[in-house]
Amino acid sequence: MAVTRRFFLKSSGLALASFAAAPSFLQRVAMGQSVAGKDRPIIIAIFQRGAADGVSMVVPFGDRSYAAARPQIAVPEPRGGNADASLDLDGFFALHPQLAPFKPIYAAGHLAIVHAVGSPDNTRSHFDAQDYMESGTPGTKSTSDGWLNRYLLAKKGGKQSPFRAVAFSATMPRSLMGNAPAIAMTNIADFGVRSGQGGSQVAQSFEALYAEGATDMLYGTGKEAFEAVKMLKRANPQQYRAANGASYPRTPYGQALLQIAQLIKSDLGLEVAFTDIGGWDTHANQGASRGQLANRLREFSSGIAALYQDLGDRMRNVVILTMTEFGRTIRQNGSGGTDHGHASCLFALGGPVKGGKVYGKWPGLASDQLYDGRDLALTTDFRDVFAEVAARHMGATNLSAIFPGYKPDPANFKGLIRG
Amino acid sequence: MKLFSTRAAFALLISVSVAASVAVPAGADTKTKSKKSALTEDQKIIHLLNRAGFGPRPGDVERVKAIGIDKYIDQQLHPERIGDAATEARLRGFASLKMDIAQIYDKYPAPNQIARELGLRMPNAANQQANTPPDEASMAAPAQPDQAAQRENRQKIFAYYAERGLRPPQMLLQELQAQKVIRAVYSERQLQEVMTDFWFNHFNIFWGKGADRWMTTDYEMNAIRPNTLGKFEDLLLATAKSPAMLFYLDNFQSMSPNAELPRRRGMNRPAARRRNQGLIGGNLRNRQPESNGEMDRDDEQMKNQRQPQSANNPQSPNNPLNRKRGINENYAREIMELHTLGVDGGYTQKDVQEVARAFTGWSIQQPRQNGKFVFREFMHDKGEKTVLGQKIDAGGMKDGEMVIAILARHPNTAKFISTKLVRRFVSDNPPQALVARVAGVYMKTGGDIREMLRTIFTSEEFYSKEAYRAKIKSPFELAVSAVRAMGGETVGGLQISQFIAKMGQPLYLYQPPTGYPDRAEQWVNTGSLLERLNFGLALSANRVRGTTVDMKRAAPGIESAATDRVMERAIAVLLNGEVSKQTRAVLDRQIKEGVPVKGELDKAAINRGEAMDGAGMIAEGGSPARPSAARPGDRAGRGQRRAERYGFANQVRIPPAPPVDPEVAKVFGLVLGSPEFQRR
Repeated sequence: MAVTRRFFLKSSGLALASFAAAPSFLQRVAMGQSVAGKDRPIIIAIFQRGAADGVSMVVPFGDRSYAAARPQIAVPEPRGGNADASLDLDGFFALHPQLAPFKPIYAAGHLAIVHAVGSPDNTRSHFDAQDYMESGTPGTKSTSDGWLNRYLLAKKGGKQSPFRAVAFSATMPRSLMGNAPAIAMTNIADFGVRSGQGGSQVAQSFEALYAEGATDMLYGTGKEAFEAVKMLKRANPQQYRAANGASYPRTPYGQALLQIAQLIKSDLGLEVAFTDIGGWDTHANQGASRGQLANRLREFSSGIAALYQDLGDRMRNVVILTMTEFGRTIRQNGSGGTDHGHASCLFALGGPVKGGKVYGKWPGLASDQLYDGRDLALTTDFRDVFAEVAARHMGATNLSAIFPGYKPDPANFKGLIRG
Repeated sequence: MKLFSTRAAFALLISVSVAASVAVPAGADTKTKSKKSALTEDQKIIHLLNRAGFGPRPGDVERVKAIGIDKYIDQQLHPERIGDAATEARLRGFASLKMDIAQIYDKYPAPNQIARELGLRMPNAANQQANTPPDEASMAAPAQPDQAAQRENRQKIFAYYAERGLRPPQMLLQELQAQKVIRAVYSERQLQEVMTDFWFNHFNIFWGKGADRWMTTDYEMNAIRPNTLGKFEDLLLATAKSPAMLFYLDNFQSMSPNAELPRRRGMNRPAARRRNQGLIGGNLRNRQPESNGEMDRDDEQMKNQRQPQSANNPQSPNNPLNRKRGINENYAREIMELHTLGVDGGYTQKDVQEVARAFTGWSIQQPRQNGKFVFREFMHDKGEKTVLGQKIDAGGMKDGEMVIAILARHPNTAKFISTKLVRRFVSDNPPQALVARVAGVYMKTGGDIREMLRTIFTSEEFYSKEAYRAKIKSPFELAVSAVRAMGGETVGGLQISQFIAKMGQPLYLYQPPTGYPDRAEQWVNTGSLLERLNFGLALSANRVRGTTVDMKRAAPGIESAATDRVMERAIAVLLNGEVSKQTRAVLDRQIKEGVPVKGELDKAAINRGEAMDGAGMIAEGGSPARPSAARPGDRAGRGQRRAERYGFANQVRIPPAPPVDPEVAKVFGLVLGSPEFQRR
C-alpha cells in the first residue's frame, strides 16, 4: 500500500504539517522500520559556551515556582495568539519562542530534550566547567585529552579518513584533543597551502618534499596532509549549496554548520564534527521572550534547523547533540539577568533520536529543591547522555575508556537513542 | 718448551689490543665511534644552538667557533654574565612587564568595570568580547538589539581608556606573547629563554582563567624567569606561592573545614543585609562565591555599583566568608603528579589529602591591596599531617614549606625532572643512562638545574648522531628559529602569534595544567603541518605583519645570484647545506620552473614592501594574504583593530620590509617548510 501522507499521519499520530517535504527516512522511522543500515554514524557536537539558561530554553511553566522567581524575565507560558508566549511541548514544558524552529522537529519525533542535566562537579568557573565537560572527567583537571578523541581511539577500524573528526574553530577544542587525528579549521577554503600567486606550483613542490620516507612520521603525515588536501579538492564540498530551502545564519556559527553539512555531503568519511557558539553568559539584561538571550536562541536554533533541513535524508544516521557547561540561577539577579548555576538542558536531534519528549527527572524549583538554594538541581549526569549517544548511535563498546573514572551503565541511559 | 704458552700469548695479545684501544680511542674502533661522535665541529655547534637556543642566526656558528663550544656553554649557563640591553630595549613599550599585580589591575581594567564606574548598563555580549579570553572571544556574538546604545557605550568606554592611558586586559596577553617572541628571537641569553619556555610549560597555567589574566605576567616574570637555572626547590616554592598558580589550581580558597571565620564588621548593617537578601540567595554562610573565584567577574558588583572588591565587601567573592568552606585538592594533586614526583611517583590519594591540608591558608591578597601571596592562618588546617611517610607538624605556613622540601628532595622527583629535561634536550626517547646520570646530579647538588644541564650538554648522548636533528620543533620554536635563521626582525605582533596558534600552540593558552606534551606526535598532524608550510611561505614573502625578513641579510648577494645559486644559498643559510637528495631535487625544480627573467622584480612585490612601515604593528599594509585580519568579525581582525585603537605599539621600530623577489621568497619558503627545517 502506498504510504500516503494521510495514512502516515493517521497511523503514527505525528504532525508533519510544518515540513513541506518530509524526508523519506522520517516516514520509514514512523513505520517502525530500522534506519541503521550500513551508514557510518555521525555526531555533530555543538557547545554553547558561557552557561546557557536551561529554564529559558525549555520553560518549565508547569512548575509554579518558575514565574515567581523571575518577575521580569520569565518567559510567558503558552497562550494562544501571543507572539511572546512559549511553545507548548507536553503541558509542563514549553519551548522559548525563539526556539520555534525546533518545534516541528520535536513534533516529528526527531528532537529530544534532556532537562536538569549537567556536571556533578560544583565549580562555577566557566573555564573549569567547560574543561570538565570536554575532557569528560568532571573534577579531574589533569586529563589532557577530550571525550570525543577518546571515542575515536576506542572505535578504530579500517582506513580512517583524514576528515574523520573535524572541528570548526580556530584551535583544536578540548573535546577533540588527544592522540587520535583530528583537524581544526575555520574555513574549508583555507585548508591547504596558501601561497598567493603561483600557488599550486608551490603546493606541488611541498608535496614532493614530503613524498618519500614513509616510515618517518613527519613524511608520513606530510603525505597524508597532501592527500587530504587533494581529497578535499576533489570532493569540492563548496559545490553543495544548502538544500531543501535551508537558510543558515550569516554568522561564524551558521557558516560552521553550513560547512559541516558540506563535508558530510562530500562523503569524506566525517564521523565527528564539533563547533561552538558563545554569548550565553547573561548576567544582565537577559530579557525574556525578547532581548539578549532570545537573540542568541534565534541564531542557535535557526542554525541547527537549517542544518537539519539541509542534510535532509542524511539525518538518518546523524545525531546533533548540544551541551553547555552549566546553567544559571533560577532567581533573577538585580540586573535583570542570572548568574552561574548548575544543571541546564540539552537537545539531541536526528534520525536515531527518539524525540518528541523531555527526558530526565524534573527536580522542581521550590526553594528547598534548588541546588545550593539557588540553582536547578542535577538529575542526569551529562556523561550518561554522551555515553548513550556514543554507545547506541556511534557503536562504541568500551565506555569506561571514553569516560575514565566513570562506568556508564546502560540502565541509566535515558533511552533517547534508538537501540 | 715454548717461551710463551699459547694461552699466555693469546692473553698477551688481547691485553695489548685492549691497551691499544684504550690508549688510542680515536680511530681504534671506528664502527662504534662513528655512531657516537661523528658530528663535525660545525654540526655540534648547530646542534647546540638548536637545542640550547632557538637556532642559529647568520654568523652565530662562526661566533661560537671563535670562543669554543665549552666556553659558549659556560656563558649560556650564566645568563647574568651576558649583556642583553638591546633586547631589553625592545620591550620598552610593554608596560605590563615590569608592573606588579596591583598595578596591572589598575592599568588594565576590564570594560565592565569601567562601565560600572561610568554607570553604564553593559549588555553582556559586548562585555564578553572584551573580557573573555581569546578562545572564547570569538564565541561572543554581537548583540543585535539596541546597537546604537551599545556603540555609544563602547565609545564612552574607549574614551575612558584613552583619556587615562589605560588598556583592556586582552593587551596583557598580547604583551606576554609579543615579549616571548621578541626575547626568543633577539636575546643573547638563549638558554635562559629556552628554560623559561620549558619551566612555564612544566608549571603550566592558563592565561584565560579569570583572574589569571592579570596575574600571569607576574608569574612568568617573577616566579619563573629568575629561577630557571638555580635550584629546583626554589623554583617550586616560587610557583607554589605565586598568586597565578594559587588561583589557577584553586588553592587560594582551600580552607580547613573547621576554619573559624573571622568576624567582620558591618555584616549586620541593614544595607548589607538587604544586599544579602538579594535574589542570589540568603544565608551568607552558605553562599557560594559567584564564580568560584573568578575575581574579575563583577557579578556582585553589577548590583553594588561602586563597591570595591575588598574582603570586607559582603558581596565580594574575595571575601573569605564567601568562599566555599572545605579543602580543595587540585593543587595538592598536581604538585605531585605534574610538578615533582610524576604520575607514577608513588604517592597515594591519602598523600594528596594530606598535602592539601598542609597548603590550606596559602592564599592571595585582594588585588586592590597588592594582589600578593598571603598566608591566612584562619584557613589553615592545623594538626599533624603525614606525607609520603613523613610527619609534618611544623605548624602554620611551615607545613606547606615542609611539603615543598620533601617533594623537591625526593629521588622520584629527580628522576621525573631529569627525564623531562633529557626529553627536551636530547630525544623523545630519553636515553636511560643519561637520565640516571642527570638524576644523580640532581640528588647530589640538591636539584641544581645548571649542573643538570651541564651534564646534558657535555654528554656523549647529546652529541650523538641519533640525537642530531631528531626532535621536531614546536610551533613556537619553528617560528622563532625561522626568523632567526633569516636574520629577520620582529616586534612580536599578533600575526606571528596567530600562526603559532594555528600551528597548534596558542601561547599561554594551554588549558590543562599538564602543559604542551613534548613529543613529535603532539605537533605533527595534518592540519598543523599545513599551517607550518603556510607560515614558511608567508614569512619569506614578508606577509607576517610585524615581522620582516631581509633576503640580503639572510643571504648576502642573493639578489644578483645566478638562479641555481639561490637554491644553494637558501639551503646553506637555513640548513647548513644538509638536505636530502630529494629536497634538493625539488628545490632545484622549483627554482628552475618558477623564476622569471632574472633581475626583474615583481611590481606588486615592491608595492607590498613599501607599504609596510617601520612600526610594523601599526602598518596598514598592502599585503595580499592577511587571511585573518581581513574578515569582519574575525577575532584576529578585531584583535588587530583593538590593538591599534588602544595604541599598542612597541616603541622600538623595525626597519621596513624590503622588496622581495617572489621567486626567491618561494625557495626560502620551501626550505622553511621542508621536513628538514621542522627538526632541531
